[in-house]
Amino acid sequence: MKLSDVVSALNVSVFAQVPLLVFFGIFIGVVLHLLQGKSQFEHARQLPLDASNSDAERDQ
Amino acid sequence: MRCALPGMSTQTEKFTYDDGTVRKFVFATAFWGVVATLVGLWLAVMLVAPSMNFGLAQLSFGRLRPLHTNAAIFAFAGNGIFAAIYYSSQRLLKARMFSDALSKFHFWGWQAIIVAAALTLPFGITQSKEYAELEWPIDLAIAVVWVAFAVNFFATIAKRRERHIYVAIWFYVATVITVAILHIFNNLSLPVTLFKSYSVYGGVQDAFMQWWYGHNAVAFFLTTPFLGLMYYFLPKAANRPVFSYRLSILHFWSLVFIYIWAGPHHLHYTALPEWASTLGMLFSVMLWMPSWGGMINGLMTLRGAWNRVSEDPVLKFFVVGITFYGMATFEGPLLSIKSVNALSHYTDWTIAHVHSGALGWNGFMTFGMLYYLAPRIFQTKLWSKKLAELHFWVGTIGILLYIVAIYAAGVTQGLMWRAFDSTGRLAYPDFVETVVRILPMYWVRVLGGTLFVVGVVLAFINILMTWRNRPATYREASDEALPLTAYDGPATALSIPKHSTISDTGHAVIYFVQAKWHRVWERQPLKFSIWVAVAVIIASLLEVVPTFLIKSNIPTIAAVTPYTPLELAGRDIYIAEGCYNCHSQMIRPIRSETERYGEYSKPGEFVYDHPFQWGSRRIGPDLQRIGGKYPVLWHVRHMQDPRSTTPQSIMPAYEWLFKDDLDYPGIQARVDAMAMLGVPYGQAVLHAESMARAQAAQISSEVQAQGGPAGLEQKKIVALVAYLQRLGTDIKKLPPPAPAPEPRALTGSSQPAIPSNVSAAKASPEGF
Repeated sequence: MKLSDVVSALNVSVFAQVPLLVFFGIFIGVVLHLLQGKSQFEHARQLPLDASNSDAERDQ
Repeated sequence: MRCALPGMSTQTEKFTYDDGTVRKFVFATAFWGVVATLVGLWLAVMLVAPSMNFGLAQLSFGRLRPLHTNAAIFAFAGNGIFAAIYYSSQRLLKARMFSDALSKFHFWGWQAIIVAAALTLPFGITQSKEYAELEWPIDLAIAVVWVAFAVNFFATIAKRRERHIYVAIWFYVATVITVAILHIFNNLSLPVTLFKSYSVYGGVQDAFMQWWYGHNAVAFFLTTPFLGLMYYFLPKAANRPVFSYRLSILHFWSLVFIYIWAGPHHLHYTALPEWASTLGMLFSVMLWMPSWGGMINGLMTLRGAWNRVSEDPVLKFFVVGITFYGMATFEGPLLSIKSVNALSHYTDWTIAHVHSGALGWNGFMTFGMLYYLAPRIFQTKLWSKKLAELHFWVGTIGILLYIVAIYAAGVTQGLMWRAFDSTGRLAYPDFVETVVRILPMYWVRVLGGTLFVVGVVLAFINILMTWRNRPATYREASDEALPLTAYDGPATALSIPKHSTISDTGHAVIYFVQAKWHRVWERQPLKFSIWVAVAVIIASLLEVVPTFLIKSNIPTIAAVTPYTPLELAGRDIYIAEGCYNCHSQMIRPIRSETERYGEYSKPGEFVYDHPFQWGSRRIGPDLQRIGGKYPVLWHVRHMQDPRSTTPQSIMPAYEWLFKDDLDYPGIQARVDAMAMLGVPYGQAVLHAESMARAQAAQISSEVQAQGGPAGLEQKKIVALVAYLQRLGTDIKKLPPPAPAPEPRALTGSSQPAIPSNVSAAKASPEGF
């Protein structure tokens, strides 16, 4: 039996349902991660502004 | 100096940044910006004054349009994102780029690729796949340069001094990985000569792969790196931290997971299977959420700094750029809805949408970054803030004029194409009527485009003059930071003790729910990158595998046979001249289309099309059923002087096709290559040249008999006419007879037979 036989035998709606489930699974995972608390992101949030003195001196 | 965190040494390290590479990319961005927009303006002029190519093949619309799109995307935006990545990555990772040699190779290699594109596309050397037109040697060079860039980028991450990878870097990681995947798989082709190749995919599958690539080129070349740019340069310019880091994480993963599915919305109502089209629409609509997450995060970052927007041209460019991002990403999902797409597809509405994104989002974000960077990397004040302000206003007005006119043109086209009169006939049966109606809007586009180009030239002058005021020697940009050591911070394992009443599975579930795995990834870029790649590959495979393997997707049609050798040569001329830039070959199953063009297109009609030629817009009419509609002499006259057959046509004359000789000896190699790709060519594999000459002689004599010029059999025009006369005619024929031992003789000037035994053997009993 070829792979094309297997894929052809599946209902095409499977190919839409699986991605939706994959997406929502990941989405829920990321949301749960983000609910862990605000403080842990504070350091990351400041990173672009965390310039050294030499860098700041060049800012015009 | 920062305090030591767990896992860090207490001794800081001093290091320098490579701003020399950033300076080079900044110059390249400004220079190619001028080139790309000037070519675009020239194209806009040619749409209202088609003779402005001065009879030169190299300046014709079909050949220059790919140069414009490639220059805008890969030269202007490409150099812009590289400038952003090289500048911001070093500072966010607290490390100099891994290798100066790789940085130099990347810069000069990329410029060489752009020059190669500029030297090949005007000469008709093209694969004809939109935004992937460059031929196989250049594709290989792109792959090599991209890998060098990727090695340099990831090695820099590996030697970083900042443990946490900031969200901008995540977007860059997604770009580097996904662009490589897209580029390699969409450009798989079989070389015929040094400058000619055929896509390994055919028909429906080629169309699917192309728009999987095309849409994600927008996603991962024009969106994710620009979001990375936004997340670094906007907080810097506003001197405010990003509004919500959590929102940035949410919209990053949502974008990565959703964008990759959306490509099929470019093929609604085409021969692409319905399930794939619907899936593309569904995920496109879902894209609203992460896209607006990014826009809101960007604009909200300016809270408390809005008063500075009126004084700072950098912030002005960023605000308008992000606003255009919001508008374009609202409109994109809207256009992906099938009923809207039925009106908008093939019209200038899509062109307006693309330009609101390209000029507004990509252009203005790039200009904002250039004005931010110029004083810092050239270590002097910006030459003229007033000139930057002028650029902003001229550019903004230019964009608005451009897109408003072209939105109006697009909607006008769409409505006129589908309009019926009270008797049930097409209200505008002559396609050129719809062209004439929108010409005033094309003139407004020329005006808007001119203003935008003026703005780009002002930016180039400003950058150049700022550079001229640089110090005699640059102070080397330096910084200091604590080196990273092995992580010995808080454990990421479960904080709850392993309890006998909780099974291993239970622990795994709690671990997932606590989501500490994500914190681990953020410290482990390799693992993070692998998961980004996995997300993209899984999503791609779930669309690619069924598209290629479900048998019912592409039912074969017994009457559809391969092109004759001469038609194949003509098809290659069609590709080289870029006819697909103005003409589609895809009649949708919509009444207004079948009334205007004929029977709707079937997937099985394209099985021998390497590459597909469905097109994406209709500056001229669809050509899928043009075969046999007019006598051969009409095509000859039309190609020589379109106004002689259609007085108001805006198509350029193709005089060179009547002067240039057809490369008969080269036809055999083309047929052989097609045969290697599985096209059943039978006897043509042995006698392609003689078959082509015989068919050309017949067509040429027919042209002469109808009162046309003599001696065309040696010229390119005869091959193109053969191809056009063949288009869409197969399904009108009866299935070929039973296998015959000998190839049939040529049966007519425009329909010579391919050995029927081969095609019949491939034909499916479930055929059309």
